[in-house]
Amino acid sequence: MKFKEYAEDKLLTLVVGAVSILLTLILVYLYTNRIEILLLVAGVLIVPAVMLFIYNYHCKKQYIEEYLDYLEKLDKKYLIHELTRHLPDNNEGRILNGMLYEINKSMIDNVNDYKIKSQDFAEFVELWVHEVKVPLASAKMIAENNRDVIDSNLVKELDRVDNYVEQALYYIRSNSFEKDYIVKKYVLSEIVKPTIAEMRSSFIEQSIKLELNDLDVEVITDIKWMRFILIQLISNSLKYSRNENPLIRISAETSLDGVTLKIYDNGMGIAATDIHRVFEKGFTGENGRIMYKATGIGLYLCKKLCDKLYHKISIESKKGEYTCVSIFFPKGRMTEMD
Amino acid sequence: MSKILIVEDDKTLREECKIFLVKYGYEVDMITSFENTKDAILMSDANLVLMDINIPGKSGEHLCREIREVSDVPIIMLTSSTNEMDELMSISFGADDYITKPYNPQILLVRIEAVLKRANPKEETTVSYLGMVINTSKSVLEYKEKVINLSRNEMKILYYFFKHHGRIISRDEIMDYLWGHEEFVDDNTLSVNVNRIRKKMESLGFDELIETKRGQGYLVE
Repeated sequence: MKFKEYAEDKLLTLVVGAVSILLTLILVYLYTNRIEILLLVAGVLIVPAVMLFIYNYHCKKQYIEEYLDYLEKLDKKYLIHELTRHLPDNNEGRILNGMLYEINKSMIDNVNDYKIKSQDFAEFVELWVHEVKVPLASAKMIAENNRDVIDSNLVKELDRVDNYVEQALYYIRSNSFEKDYIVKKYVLSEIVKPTIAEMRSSFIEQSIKLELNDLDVEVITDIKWMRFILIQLISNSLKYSRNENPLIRISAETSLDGVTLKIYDNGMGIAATDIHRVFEKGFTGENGRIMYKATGIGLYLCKKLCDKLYHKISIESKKGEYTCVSIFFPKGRMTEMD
Repeated sequence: MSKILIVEDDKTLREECKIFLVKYGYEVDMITSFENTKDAILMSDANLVLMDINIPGKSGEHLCREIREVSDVPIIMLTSSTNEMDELMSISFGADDYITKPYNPQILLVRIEAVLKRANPKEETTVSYLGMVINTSKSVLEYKEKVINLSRNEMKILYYFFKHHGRIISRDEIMDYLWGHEEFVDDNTLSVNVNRIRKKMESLGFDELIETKRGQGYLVE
């Protein structure tokens, strides 16, 4: 706070003070008619008034500067009243702090309302996913039991529904603060093989050649999340596969600092202009527009879940030739413990 | 023949599950009232229990633990929530395996086979047809005095042929079966394997046992 600003605020005090001092001096001079008494009285009145004014200015300045300083350093600025409780040694400061406390409390109540609502919604979605899986399981069974009359495409559509349902679940999960995954040691083939077995109908139907290389390595991950991620990546590979000699190769490379899982396909690839945006939410790109109705959620979720698990996901592609997604599982000191 | 007890409160799923398992040669029992599930399970003489994790009245986990106190019957938990904890709990409460809904029916079959095999490791699983016996634990085909070694793929394919003799089996159906068992073969490999099986059959004196139906698949009469 500059002196000028302070003076502006205290303009009325200044004017009234100055006027009353001036009047006093005029009266003193008129009664006594002696210049030395006038000067003495002027000194007695003006010097302490000016000193008091400057002192008050300094107090106020220090208080405000300290306040601003705390505010600047504070990460969660709404907590300012917790830090400034000791600052004011006067009623004005105490009232201000009390006000801030009340304001903050009402804000937190308000935020909590939304928190509860959003948690409520998340719980509902989880429950809903849970419920919808029962009729889905029944539908799959019915299709299986009536294979001779039911088109195999129906099963594929059911699988699609299942995947969209899962996406909803993992979308909610990826936003929650809770850590609802469990990381353990797994051999990669234990995760990859059952996942492919479940997705086999597309592989067989499209006559896609599958190569699995060096997957008998251990990684630290969460099996459910990893399985979900794999389904997203493999179904992308299946979706954008080529017509002649389609190939999907899933392999692992071990290096000093970890293991890289690679999901390679010789499909249609991704345009160079699109590739750096594929992990963005809702991004569909050229392929999504031309070929299929893509939602742009699959890869976004993969990235988000990988980030949470401290896996590094990256993608490489050449339009018309191949796409290769890599997931790096770091092997740190932390992960070497048994 | 193994008997499976289904403990699932959703009627449609329960019935369809039964139809499916019966089709694949299992005997199936169901619990339809859940007032005293524990006793109903214990009274059953099933070789395996397929149990939903959410049955009315009691959580499947606790039920599982209670059953474990008195019985060693293999239990496969069916969970529909994708909650990691559920599965961890099922295992720690004594379930032998768990499957997440909506399970792929073929995968369910594979898991059931595996758990049954683990529960009775000594029991040899054999399939026979026209006097030929496939011994899956030794991976051989026995006929009279002769014993022929089979590769893993050959054994699975032949097993499927024997189990489904008398009707046309499409190539896709065999592929589906093999992939479901995590044998990811391609079209050529399947042809090669079928030809090898034919040669082995011939050496036992069964010429032209596996007929090729053009455009439809294979037929083992």
